[in-house]
Amino acid sequence: MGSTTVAGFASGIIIALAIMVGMSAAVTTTHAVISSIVVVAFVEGFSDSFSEYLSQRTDKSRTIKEVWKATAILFGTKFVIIIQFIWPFLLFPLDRISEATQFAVFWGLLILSVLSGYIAKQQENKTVIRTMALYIVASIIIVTITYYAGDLVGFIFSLLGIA
Amino acid sequence: MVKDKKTKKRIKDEKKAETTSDKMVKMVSGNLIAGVIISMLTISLVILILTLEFSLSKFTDPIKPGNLIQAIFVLAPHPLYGFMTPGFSSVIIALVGGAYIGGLVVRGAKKGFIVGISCFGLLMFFQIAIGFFFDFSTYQGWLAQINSGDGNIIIDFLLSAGLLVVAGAVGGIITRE
Repeated sequence: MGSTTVAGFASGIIIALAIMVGMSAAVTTTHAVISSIVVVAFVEGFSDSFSEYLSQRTDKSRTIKEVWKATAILFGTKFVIIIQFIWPFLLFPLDRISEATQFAVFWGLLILSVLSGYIAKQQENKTVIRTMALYIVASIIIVTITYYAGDLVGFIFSLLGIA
Repeated sequence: MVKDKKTKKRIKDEKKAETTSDKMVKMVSGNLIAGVIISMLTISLVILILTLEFSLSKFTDPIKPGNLIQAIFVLAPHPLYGFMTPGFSSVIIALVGGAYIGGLVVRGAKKGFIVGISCFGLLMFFQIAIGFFFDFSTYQGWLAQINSGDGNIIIDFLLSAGLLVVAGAVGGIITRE
């Protein structure tokens, strides 16, 4: 059950960061970013928990109750971890989208580093700092790619005169 | 003769133990100093890059410091400023990020706590020393200016100390041996 929660946490944080940064680069309204976070929280929660449900059902040793429990935990974890990224955008004034994104990225990386440190401590043979650095660098690379993807979309839209 | 040998061995063991404990004390204090230095550097860099964006014009205080180094230490323990146009978030990022990294370096909750407290003390000292060059009348004017506006300097100082201490301790817990 623990591994399911951890998996939900890590991928939830990275997806939320990528969506926030990509959207912030492409659009200029806070509402669009908040809407995308809410939609992604539901979509990711449902899709991942449905996949988990299907894969667990193939395991004959598991009871129906266990399968539903794992599914519910994965949905809950993923939904909560993604939806909580809304608060920086609600806290900051609407015209300060880049500042809110900056703060949300810092918050996400902080949670991710604490989580990766916890994972490294569980696997006693791993170096904590090295594992944390690996997670942080990987998520920074992903976030950077999505930022430029969002920027490119924004640029193409501006060329077409859409935004 | 046998007793002599035993006594010599005991003395040698005691000396060895003393040297080891001395080494341990030196290592722990060295570790703490490294943690504090890394924290301070991170805090200063984040404020310089994110908050001030290498520009003094971002700092719109009437009692304006003359250079970026002064501005860093005027802002550092003051995360809820009401008079500055860029948001407070980057100063919070600087404090939390700096103390967290310092805590990771020192490897221990108590040591992380000490790093947080030390950083707060140093930031306060540098605020008066580098920010105001020990000109206490200007410093008091600045404090009064914050209190007369939207801010409350006591809350600011408590918040920055709390952030530093908690982030340092969390960092220390994660890498605790």
